[in-house]
Amino acid sequence: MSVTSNWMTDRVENQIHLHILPTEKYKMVSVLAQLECSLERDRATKIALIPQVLMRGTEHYPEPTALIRAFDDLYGAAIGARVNKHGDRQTVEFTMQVAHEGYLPNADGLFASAMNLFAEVIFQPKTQQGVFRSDDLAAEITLHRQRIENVVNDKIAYAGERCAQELCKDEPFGISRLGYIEDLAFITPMSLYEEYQQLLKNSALHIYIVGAVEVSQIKEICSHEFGRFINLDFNLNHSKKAVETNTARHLVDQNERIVIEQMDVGQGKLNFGLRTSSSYDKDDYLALVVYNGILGGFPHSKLFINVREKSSLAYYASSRIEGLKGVIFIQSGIQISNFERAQTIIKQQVEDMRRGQITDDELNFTKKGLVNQYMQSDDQPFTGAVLQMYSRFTGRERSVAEMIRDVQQVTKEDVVRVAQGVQVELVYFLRDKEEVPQNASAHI
Amino acid sequence: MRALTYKRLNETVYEETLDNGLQVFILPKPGFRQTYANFTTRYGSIDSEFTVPNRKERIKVPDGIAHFLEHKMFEEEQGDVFIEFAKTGASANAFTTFDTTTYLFSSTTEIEKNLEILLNFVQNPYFTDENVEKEKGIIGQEIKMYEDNPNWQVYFGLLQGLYGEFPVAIDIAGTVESIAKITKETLYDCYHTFYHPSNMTLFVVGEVDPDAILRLVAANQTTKQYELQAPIERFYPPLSHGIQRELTEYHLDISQPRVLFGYREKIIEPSAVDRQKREAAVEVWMDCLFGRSSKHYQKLIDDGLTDQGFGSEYELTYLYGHSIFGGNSKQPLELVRQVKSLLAQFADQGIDLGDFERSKKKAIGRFMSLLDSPQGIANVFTSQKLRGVDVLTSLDILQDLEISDVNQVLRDHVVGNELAMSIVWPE
Repeated sequence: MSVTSNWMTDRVENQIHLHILPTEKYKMVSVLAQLECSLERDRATKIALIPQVLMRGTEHYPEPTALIRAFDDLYGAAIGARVNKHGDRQTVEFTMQVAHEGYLPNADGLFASAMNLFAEVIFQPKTQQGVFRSDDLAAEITLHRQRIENVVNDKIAYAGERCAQELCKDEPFGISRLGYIEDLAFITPMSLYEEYQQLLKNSALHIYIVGAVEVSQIKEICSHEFGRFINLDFNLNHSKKAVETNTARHLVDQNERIVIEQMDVGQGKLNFGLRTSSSYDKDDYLALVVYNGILGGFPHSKLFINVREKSSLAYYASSRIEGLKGVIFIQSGIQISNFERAQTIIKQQVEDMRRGQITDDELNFTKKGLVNQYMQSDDQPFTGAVLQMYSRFTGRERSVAEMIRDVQQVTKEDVVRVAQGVQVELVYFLRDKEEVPQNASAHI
Repeated sequence: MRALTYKRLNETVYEETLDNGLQVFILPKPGFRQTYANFTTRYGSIDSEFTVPNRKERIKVPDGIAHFLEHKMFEEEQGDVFIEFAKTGASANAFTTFDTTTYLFSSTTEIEKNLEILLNFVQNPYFTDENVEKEKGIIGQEIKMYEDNPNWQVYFGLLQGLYGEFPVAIDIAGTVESIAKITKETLYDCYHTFYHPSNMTLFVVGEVDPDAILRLVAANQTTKQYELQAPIERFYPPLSHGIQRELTEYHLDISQPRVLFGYREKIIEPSAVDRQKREAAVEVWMDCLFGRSSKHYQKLIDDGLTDQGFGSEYELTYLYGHSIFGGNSKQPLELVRQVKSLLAQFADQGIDLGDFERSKKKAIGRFMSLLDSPQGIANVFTSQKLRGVDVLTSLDILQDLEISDVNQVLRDHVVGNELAMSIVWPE
């Protein structure tokens, strides 16, 4: 049952933390680099734009085409850059997958060359008069506007996003990952460049490298490629500052709200936002994970069995947990006229959990299913990276092995105890444009 | 058991055909926690007309029935198959494509038990009038979900334009009307025609002992009675000579239009290896002309005609083949016009040698990433195998590719060919 956790860690000066996992099982070498910052309404749009603008080119490869060509020349090294939301915090993440040179003809030095480019994307963007180029920014603003507008095109994702925004209206987690269209007009090459500099100054850069690599060689490559960009202004104190987890709970005084949104759709999307009294940093977190699994994490779960299999109301009906926030989201796609019926059945499942109506099978199947998921997560290169990030954000260290152990120890009583702290706070329904009866949109 | 070793990849696939015809493939992957198994029949949404072997009757079945059957296989007289997998913690699923139906699990413990469950439930149909009716509500919602999805709608709109009556243009799940006609009797006819072991493959990948897996599977199959089955007779309507129509349109509540366009493949070689080479060559010219590192790709974006999601793909089987280009666009007709003219230009002048070399290298590197995903390699290996292609020879095929092959294949595909397009407009 042992799970890999042989990460080697090292530093390049104060700012850069290297995490290396040598393993023979992959044919690719995978790299993830993260910068992190607080999630704030006023900077979210700028932070979301930074990775897009950085991909416009570097000093050495000043056009997007030239930059991607340089990566393609390295046996198609796949580069990606994006903004991500983790609970109430935000990260700018860069990823790269490079084929291992040992499997390729005449490819010595492939990884070193790829890291050279990778470091330049993060630290050496092309600039004009000391800031981002205005034509690059203008192009990316146009594309980003569309990116934000396009969220609505995938109705399942849209409903999920809206549900999170409504549930956490007054918390950072409710802030849109991509930012806001109305902010785009105010972003200048100067203001965006300053935001980028702030990010580099205040955030440590964590680099994770997983693959059939030799640790000392990787350290040497990284110290060479990243050492040249070390920021002398790097604010060590800022980075060290313990992250405060958002413990503000709105349990007792929050009434259940219904939000109904109308679009031209054929299928209704019925989502729920549930507040809980646990989260990643708490001792009873794994009991909450088991709770979510019994409710809607698997095909044996209450939602799948009761909404889909017994009532034929939906093709999908499931729940997922946002561990850092301690909230649970339920999602289902239903015939619009079945809104009341589906809502009643879903709420009944939450109520059954609270009343302890949990069978031994439901508990055991869920625990086994979760253990299987945790074990399988070892086949993903960056599982360890996510856990280390979570521990930085919450101050709570958990390894895959510990989570497996903790899940196995969860009892029905533990689950019922966390169930007492679970409350349906939001019902979100995306439906067609037929007339909605007056009382349905009222807050209950 | 035959061991096929791919030296450059440092991988070995073990292969055996059992007495009842089932083809078994095992790929040991040291270091991986999970074992992934894929049990697939060569039967998909396009197989709607065939001869039922036991009574030699040619029948036509409702659209969407292969997918419906896939759903219903999870129900047994004793109950829900998901519960059997849940007892070991395994994660199980299934999916239906144009020409295959796959049942799968991934698991980190009790591999033998899960393999038995997989083999047994797929080889034990249990349909009742009641459970068939119940499924219609569930699949009805699956169909409704896709009806609101612009990517799905624009994709099938294009296939309709390219193929007309040919069944690849029919939604894999069928329609609410077509599935209403499905009965348990028809499901049994489909099952008995297409789920004979000689029409199926099993692929197991993970840190496994090939001999032990093969012994288990062979022993399991020996307990089941299968008569030898003659090759299945499948009937497809003739492929029309040209496309069905140039433009297919649809409206949805979305932020901007989405467009896909493409050509049918005119040259479909009978040899699977020839088709594999053609496919590799097409992928190279597509990447040269419209990959992320192509200046044309960047120009289409900079000119406001599309965004970074613009892409292209190609599919080729012994029955049909086509290219697809497209993405989001505020000016879909102009986007199509420009891409079409670029294609004509490069069909004439040929692609750049530097681009060719780069794309080839990229394809080699990207292929390797497939081998790091147990699920990816199992699914791609199986679907290609059922089309007669060994995907693990891709590197050799790519290595041997010449620029003249690529230019020829580009001309074959584009010159004098009719383009079809599909647009989903905002309402």
